[in-house]
Amino acid sequence: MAVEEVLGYRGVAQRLVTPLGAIGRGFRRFAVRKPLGAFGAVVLTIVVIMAIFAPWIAPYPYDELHLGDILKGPSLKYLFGTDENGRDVFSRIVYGAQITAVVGLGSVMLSAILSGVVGIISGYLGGRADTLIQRAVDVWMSFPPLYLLLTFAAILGTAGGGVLGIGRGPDWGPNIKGMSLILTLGIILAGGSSRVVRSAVLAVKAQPFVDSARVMGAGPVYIMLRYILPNVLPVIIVLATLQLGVAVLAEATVSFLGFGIPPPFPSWGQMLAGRARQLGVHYPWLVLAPGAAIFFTVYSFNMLGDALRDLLDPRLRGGR
Amino acid sequence: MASDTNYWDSFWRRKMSRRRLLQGAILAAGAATVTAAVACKEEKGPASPVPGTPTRIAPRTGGTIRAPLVGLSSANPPTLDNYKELTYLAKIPAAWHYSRLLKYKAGPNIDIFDYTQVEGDLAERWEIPEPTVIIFHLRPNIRFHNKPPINGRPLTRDDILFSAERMAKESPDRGSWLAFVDRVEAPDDRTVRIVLKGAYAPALTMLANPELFWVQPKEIKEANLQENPIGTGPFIFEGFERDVAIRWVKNPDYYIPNRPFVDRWEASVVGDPSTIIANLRTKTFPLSLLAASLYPTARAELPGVTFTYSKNAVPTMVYFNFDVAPFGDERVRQAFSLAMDREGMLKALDPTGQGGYHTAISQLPPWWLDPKSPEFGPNAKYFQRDVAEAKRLLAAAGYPNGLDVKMYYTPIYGAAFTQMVELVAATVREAGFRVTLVPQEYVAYLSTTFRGNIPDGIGTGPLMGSPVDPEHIFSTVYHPNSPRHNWGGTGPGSITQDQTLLRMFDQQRTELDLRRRIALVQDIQRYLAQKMYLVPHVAPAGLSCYWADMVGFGENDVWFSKGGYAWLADAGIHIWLKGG
Amino acid sequence: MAAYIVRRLLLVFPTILGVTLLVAAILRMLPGDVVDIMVSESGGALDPAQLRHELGLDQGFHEFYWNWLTGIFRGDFGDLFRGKRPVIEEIKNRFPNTLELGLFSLLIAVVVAVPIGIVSAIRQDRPVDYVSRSFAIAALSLPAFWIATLAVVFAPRLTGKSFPLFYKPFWEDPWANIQHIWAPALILGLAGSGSLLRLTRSQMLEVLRQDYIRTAWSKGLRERVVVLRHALKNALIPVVTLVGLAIPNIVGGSVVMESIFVIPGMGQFLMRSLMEREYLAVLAINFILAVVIVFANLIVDLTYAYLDPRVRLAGG
Repeated sequence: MAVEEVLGYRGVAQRLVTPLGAIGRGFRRFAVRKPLGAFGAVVLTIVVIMAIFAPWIAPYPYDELHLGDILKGPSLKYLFGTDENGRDVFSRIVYGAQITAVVGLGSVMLSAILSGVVGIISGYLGGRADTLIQRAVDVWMSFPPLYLLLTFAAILGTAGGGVLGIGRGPDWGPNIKGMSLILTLGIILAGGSSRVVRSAVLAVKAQPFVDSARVMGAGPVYIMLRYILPNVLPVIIVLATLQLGVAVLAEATVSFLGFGIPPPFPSWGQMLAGRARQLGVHYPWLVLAPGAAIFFTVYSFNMLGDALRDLLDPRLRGGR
Repeated sequence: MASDTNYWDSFWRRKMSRRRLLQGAILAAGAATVTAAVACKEEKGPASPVPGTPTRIAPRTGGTIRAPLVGLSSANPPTLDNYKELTYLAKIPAAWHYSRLLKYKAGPNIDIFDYTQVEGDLAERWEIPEPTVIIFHLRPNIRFHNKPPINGRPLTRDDILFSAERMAKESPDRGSWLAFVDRVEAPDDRTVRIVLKGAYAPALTMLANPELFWVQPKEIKEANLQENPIGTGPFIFEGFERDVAIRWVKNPDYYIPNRPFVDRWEASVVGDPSTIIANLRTKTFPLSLLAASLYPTARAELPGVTFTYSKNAVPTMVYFNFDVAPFGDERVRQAFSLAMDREGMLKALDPTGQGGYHTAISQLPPWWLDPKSPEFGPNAKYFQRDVAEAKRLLAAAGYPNGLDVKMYYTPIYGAAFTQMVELVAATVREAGFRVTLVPQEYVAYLSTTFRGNIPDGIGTGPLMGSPVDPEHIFSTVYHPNSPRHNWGGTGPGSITQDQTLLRMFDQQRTELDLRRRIALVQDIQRYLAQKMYLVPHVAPAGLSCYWADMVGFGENDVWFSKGGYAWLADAGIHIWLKGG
Repeated sequence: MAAYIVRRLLLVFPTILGVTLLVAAILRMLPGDVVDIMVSESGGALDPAQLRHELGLDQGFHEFYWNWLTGIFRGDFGDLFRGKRPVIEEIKNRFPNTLELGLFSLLIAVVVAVPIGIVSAIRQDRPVDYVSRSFAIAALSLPAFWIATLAVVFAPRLTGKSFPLFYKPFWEDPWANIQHIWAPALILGLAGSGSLLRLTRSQMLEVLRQDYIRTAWSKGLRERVVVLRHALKNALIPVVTLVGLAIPNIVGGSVVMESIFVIPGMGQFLMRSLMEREYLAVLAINFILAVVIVFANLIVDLTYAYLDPRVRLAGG
């Protein structure tokens, strides 16, 4: 309760703190009520731990060659077998979690922020602003996503960035390479979700309590933050969880086409591409391991998002 | 000169009795084919006669062959007019419907990439009255395809001259042509007289080069036949369905009797490996070019198929801009080559076990000198891994703590190429080369790295598509006068300043005796092994496969093939379909 | 309503102008051009300056864009730089194929996702719900290109026949056409059904939770039918929006599916044109895409307004 007083906005605080409190206070309760969601949370935690502690968890460096043990199956020595260059697949999966976590979470968060801002402003303000913004979104959406990715890759390369490893430029290191992928993916994802957010905003805007707030003299920013945002937050969250899978799969497709994080760094998508794709039928661990990794990660985040949404929703929606 | 083209034939005849010739044929056809036959026997599959044993089987005529246009590199040709575009995709189809003056000899005892032996295509015989003049006598009764608007009219001197004009004026390849051809004359409909600019050892080989001279009908432009080709070749163009296939029907009036054997040919433009293997498996395709990296998959998916192996004649190298320090220092380049683990790379890249090392001229036979053979001499050491020596050289060049290098490449050359690049980067690290791989988008690569604009690193990639002669390679890739225009820079460490090498280039270009010329080219390989202006990659074997119960080769049904863009005209017309 | 439609239609022109201008600018910013490819493949035998002049690539940006724009008004989309075929020919050959595949997969996605999503919401937290949600997420999580590769490789093993290599358009040979595209359509459709299912379910849940809905529901069977119809209408709103979102992907085509299943489509064409710097082809494709998408969005917005009477079109 002290939190509410400190924040001042009693209503917002009530809406946000209570569900957060519920999660914070009773993970066990959460696990009982939403077992799938809890499982999702556990897997996600594992992924994040793998990402942070990769150098300690992985038995081998991700690009260490064992040319005498090429394309060997899973064994005690190589938990998930070796690839076409004799590299340990398990170690590469562990390191790959870094890219998945950073690119996936990063681009989705960026998309959530962008689409939230654009969708709320456009939906609430309506009129000229809305029309303009929507037409701009139209323009944005008329590009197929892959095309945008490729174009950004080539341009960002020329701007002296070399950021996706494409084009010429200073070497800013693998972290920045991931950043530009995050930026591009985030912007691409935001386009579509801003429209969904907007449609949710339109539904909320039509509610009587919004009108009464306006009649009572509340300014647009206040209304957007106090009434609109909390009510569309579940939509944004659900969209974010939906999009994580998309982001991870988009990264896989981009790597598949050869424009992702440059080799030898093992993004899971890249591990599915190229040689693995050709060899996968007879050396199935090459495609099973990264495929399973992507699958479990996406699955877990979606389940978690579902559970979050189900918990948040009743308190934010009921009866007003 | 004519006698030299039959050099290898006469070598065999002099040295061997007929029986040994046959044995040689079996061996040459691919010790590998026999090995594959043995391997076939290990698989559960229909018993087939051991390929490689010549048997007198009368080839059957008829049927339709469906096969990829050019294995995994199949794709839509941007045009069917070989004088319009450079890509291999615009040239390869020409071998079905057009003809050249000469073609390359193909047969069970002739190496797939040996282009030193030519035989007549349109030409029946030729003579060389002086070193710079070649007179070709064409076959009688050469007619164009019986299709409107050409309607089967005979070949005339106008067609020859028209095509030569296009070659010299319009073709993007005219540089290679004009480098040695002065003019083409046609005194009558059956004689073609080619005047060279000077003594040019590879003249006949280059005249047969499918990148160069094909004979088109003179009406090609007025009648709009560029994309609807009518020629004098073994097949008549029927149609091109984009993203699907090119179709031809047999030319009943073809000037080589009893050829081709099949009635129709459908060349699929799909280069996707899974699709190709799937279609081999269902026996939709009787044969295909593959790639060494596909060997394990193909072996597992295609039990009973016959594999064939060949050398690799695509020069793939690591290249430098010698004006960029420290790559002008040959010690650094030598160290790079010494740091590469070629044996290890071959293990990973070539599951067939038939691969070898590229030298400065790839593996082009009969010129290639194997660095693993004692004949190579002391410079062979630069192909053997020696981490200690590499470190020592780097230190002597001023980098005792190693060197950070960026390696630029483009992934468009495929997954196997990318794997090779990754292997190079990983294996040289031990000697101190800390390589960061920088994949580039195709056109970005072409407009920067490939042109020598590599201010902060090195580049790697294939440098030529289909070389037919060492001079072809030297003039396209190494020589300062090459169209790549001093891509390596002009400073003290560059090729431009290497007078020894330039003199050696000049010498081999005009040495008309084949045996002596081979010796000269081998000396160049030894020399370049030390200079390492270009550091060669390894050479995974070329891999093909066919179903022995579906398809036969020539009168003896012993497998043979020919490399290069015109393999159809050189070897493909001898393919026939077996029943069932 | 009519005024709204007219206003939207008028906005089409500046939108398309904006799109094509942006695309043209981006294209010119890309490093290298088609001449670089031609020169490199010639081994340098060609003169880049002359080639650029012949192809009109040495024009300034304004000239370039203006020429293109006036060409569009004449109906001339230009020729490919390499091969000199008219761009419109290529597009005419490919657009129907891509559209067909896209619509087919969308149909599959909707037919699979919407009913299951609704049932899942009604029977929330029951076994049916868990099963369908697991299916949805499985559909979401697996990369379509991987499934496609496995399909192409394993089909011959399982059925003895490989996937067809030679594409026939629907009006030429309907049966061959269906045989060709059922697999990529199914894979794409199932992959897309995942997110659609979840969105349908969550929107249905929101609607069903409203007090007045709950009250109506408890009143009995006849009321339930009314409730369902009302709930459906509301639940479909974001679903329609999501479908609208799918339009660019449909029209743009799926590069990976097209290459694996050998379908001559727009996706492959766009990617290749971009890689080979065929500016006119890319511009033409984007122009068509923009037109289609703008109209599709208009229809989506109108449908949305129809479904939810609370929404005033004038305001949004």
